[in-house]
Amino acid sequence: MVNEGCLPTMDLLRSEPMQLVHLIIPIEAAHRSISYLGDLGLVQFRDLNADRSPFQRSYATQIKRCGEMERTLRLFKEQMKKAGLSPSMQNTRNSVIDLDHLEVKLRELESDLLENKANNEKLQHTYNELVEYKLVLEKVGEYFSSARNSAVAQQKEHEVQTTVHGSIDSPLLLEQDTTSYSAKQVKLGFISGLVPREKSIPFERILFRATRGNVFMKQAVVEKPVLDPTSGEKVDKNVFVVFYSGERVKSKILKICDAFGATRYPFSDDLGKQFQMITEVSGKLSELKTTIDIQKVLQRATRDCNSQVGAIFQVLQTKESPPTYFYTNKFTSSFQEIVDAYGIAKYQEANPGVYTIITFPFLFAVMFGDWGHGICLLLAALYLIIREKKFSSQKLGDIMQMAFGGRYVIAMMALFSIYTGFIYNEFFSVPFPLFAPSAYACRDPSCRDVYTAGLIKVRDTYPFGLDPVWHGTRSELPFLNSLKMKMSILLGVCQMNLGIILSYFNAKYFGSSIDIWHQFVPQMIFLNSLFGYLSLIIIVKWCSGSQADLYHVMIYMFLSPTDDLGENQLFVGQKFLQRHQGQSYSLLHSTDDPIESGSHSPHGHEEFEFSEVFVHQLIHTIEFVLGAVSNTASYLRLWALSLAHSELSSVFYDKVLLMAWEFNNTIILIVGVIVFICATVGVLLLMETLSAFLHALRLHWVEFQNKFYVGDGYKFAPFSFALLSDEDEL
Amino acid sequence: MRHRSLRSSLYSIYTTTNFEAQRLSWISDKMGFLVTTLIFLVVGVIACLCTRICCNRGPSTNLFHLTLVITATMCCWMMWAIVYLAQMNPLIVPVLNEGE
Repeated sequence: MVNEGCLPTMDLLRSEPMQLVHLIIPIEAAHRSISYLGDLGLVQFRDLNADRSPFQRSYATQIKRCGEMERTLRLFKEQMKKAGLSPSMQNTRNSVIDLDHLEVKLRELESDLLENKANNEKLQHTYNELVEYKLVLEKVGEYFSSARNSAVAQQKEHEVQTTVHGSIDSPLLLEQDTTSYSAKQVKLGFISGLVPREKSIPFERILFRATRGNVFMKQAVVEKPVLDPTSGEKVDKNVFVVFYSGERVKSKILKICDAFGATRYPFSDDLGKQFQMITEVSGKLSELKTTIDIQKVLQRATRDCNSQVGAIFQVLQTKESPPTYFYTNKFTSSFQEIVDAYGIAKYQEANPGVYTIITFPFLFAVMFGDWGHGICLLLAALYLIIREKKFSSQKLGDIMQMAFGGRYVIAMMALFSIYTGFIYNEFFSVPFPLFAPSAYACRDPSCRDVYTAGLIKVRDTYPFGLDPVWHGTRSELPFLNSLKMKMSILLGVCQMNLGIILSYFNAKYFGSSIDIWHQFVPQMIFLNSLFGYLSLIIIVKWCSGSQADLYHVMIYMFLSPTDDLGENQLFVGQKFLQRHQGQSYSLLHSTDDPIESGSHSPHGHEEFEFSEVFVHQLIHTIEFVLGAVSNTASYLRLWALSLAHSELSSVFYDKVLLMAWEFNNTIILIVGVIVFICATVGVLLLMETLSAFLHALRLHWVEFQNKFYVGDGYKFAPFSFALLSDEDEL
Repeated sequence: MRHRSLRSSLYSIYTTTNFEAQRLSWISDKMGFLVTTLIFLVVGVIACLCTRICCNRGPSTNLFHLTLVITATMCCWMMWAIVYLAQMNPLIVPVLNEGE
């Protein structure tokens, strides 16, 4: 184990220690124990019946019953939502749910509920019909009474006329008139009902045509919309009454009524009695039309489980690898997720997440360096952090969810970007001499050859960051490219060395000294004698100002190491050192051939295969050798993206904002500012951020982590009620 | 351009000889490097003390915070040092653009 005494252990560096335990629980206490363990949330269960199908397991029927109960509860929840009630939450921590009792109760309540629902629907339908009937009766009744009055009046008039006529004319004529009058009284039938208003005019027309004009129709408008019994919606309707004579006409009219969806209601002459009955029934209905009360379904039964025998708890020793668990808070969890996305750490190997918290935003910032953009990013991240509580309870879209989840990552990236922005001296691509005046000046007072030979360095080096004079000069790119490429190599070599050192600590922790001598030491020697040496001569060249060509030095170190360096000599004894390195190279290739007797075999009963380990190590060696060159070159993306960012930013500033400024026109200036802002936000703040994020991620996942990270563990997923999704919450 | 003329007005004229200027600037460059490195060191130590004072929660968390502060200080110092060293003895000098 670790802790040699002086330094405390860091929790985030290695997984929390795990233990495999064997639990034997008596059956009567089983349910309670598991539910208490679920509340605790610290245990992950292993499936010991993995080879059995779900139907063969011992608790399959219980699970089916639980599923049935869950369905019933979902139904209740839906109905309650429709009726506008909300279920109240009860604290269930203290009492035990008695599942059998609950099941019976749920079944009863469900049948009650379904019956109530059906009855409710039937009653609603009948109610609507009766409402319509009432309307028909009112309107038709009105019409009939007015018609009757006018008919009576006419008859009286006629009678008066005939009696008057009778005194003058002969009595024969009078009789003829009355008989012909009575012969004109034909038996008329009528149909009354309701028709939707928009169909009333075509209805009338078709009736007229179908019966060849031999019907009399009267319509009356109903002011308020009524609930249609068939569709259940409110529709504007008209009351109609159709008078006809003859059976065939009647059947035609009935068919037309059905086609138009007009509801028919019978009307009797004895108006008063019918009306009374209808109002009675309506009254009864309105009583019933109160909200059907849905009772609360969930009851918690408290019953003590008097089990005499406690559960047996037994620790098991095993060679299998336990799950990995890191204890993270809201700040470190997002960085840990970045690492986990590549692979979960093997149990108790070093967690790269510890360093990723700083190096990931740092490498991002190297590619992003602009303190103006950094401030914008910081403001966005601070907004998300300040509104943390509000956003975490809301349901956000996919992209917003990702941005919100990474708010601390973005904040760190922004802080480092502000720092590198000061180093690169770029504020939306504009440099400022913030710390001291520029170190460069003209060679002579007339500044004749500034455009040909350039300035010279007259003062001390600009103390913090890049000299502001460089921006916009013709030799800016050669200088910056050289600087940034060398910086990328230096940073890359440092990070890769950190990776190799972590592999040393892993080897020490797991106690495999073989790994130390045959993996760590060769790797260190190889990487540092090649790229560490390159870093050294870069720094020496900078310090001494020599004009040695480093490409030449490096390449000829291998091609002809014994040659005289001549003008490429950087320091005394360089020739000797390079020759020595060449020799150590050949040594490396012989020692790196594994003579390893690998003491790590995953299962005690598996046999150790020498040839397998040999091949594995050979592949590893080749991979490392080739990988060292490619990984170091891969760090040059730091230079590439940083160059792209500063060029884009410079283009937007020079070609958009400054050009708009030149025109001295307010409208063009406003348009220019808007275009500049849109371009900056869209291209630089969004696209470049994503791009730099991605590349920093790749550098971590591949170049840094392949030096030490195995990442084939699995995550600890405890059985915890608190972690269950809230969708099924009742 | 307005801001370019502003910058060019900052260039003053040195009258001492080239050689002396170089020697003096070499020494003061080195001093500048050391002084600023010391400043980074001091800032790092102060940051460590601040985190220890502000959030002192158990030895493991303290070590973790210490690691973070040290890593951040190292990264920042390295970047500054690289840019400073690269400018100490320049092989390329700025050649102004004629477009102004």
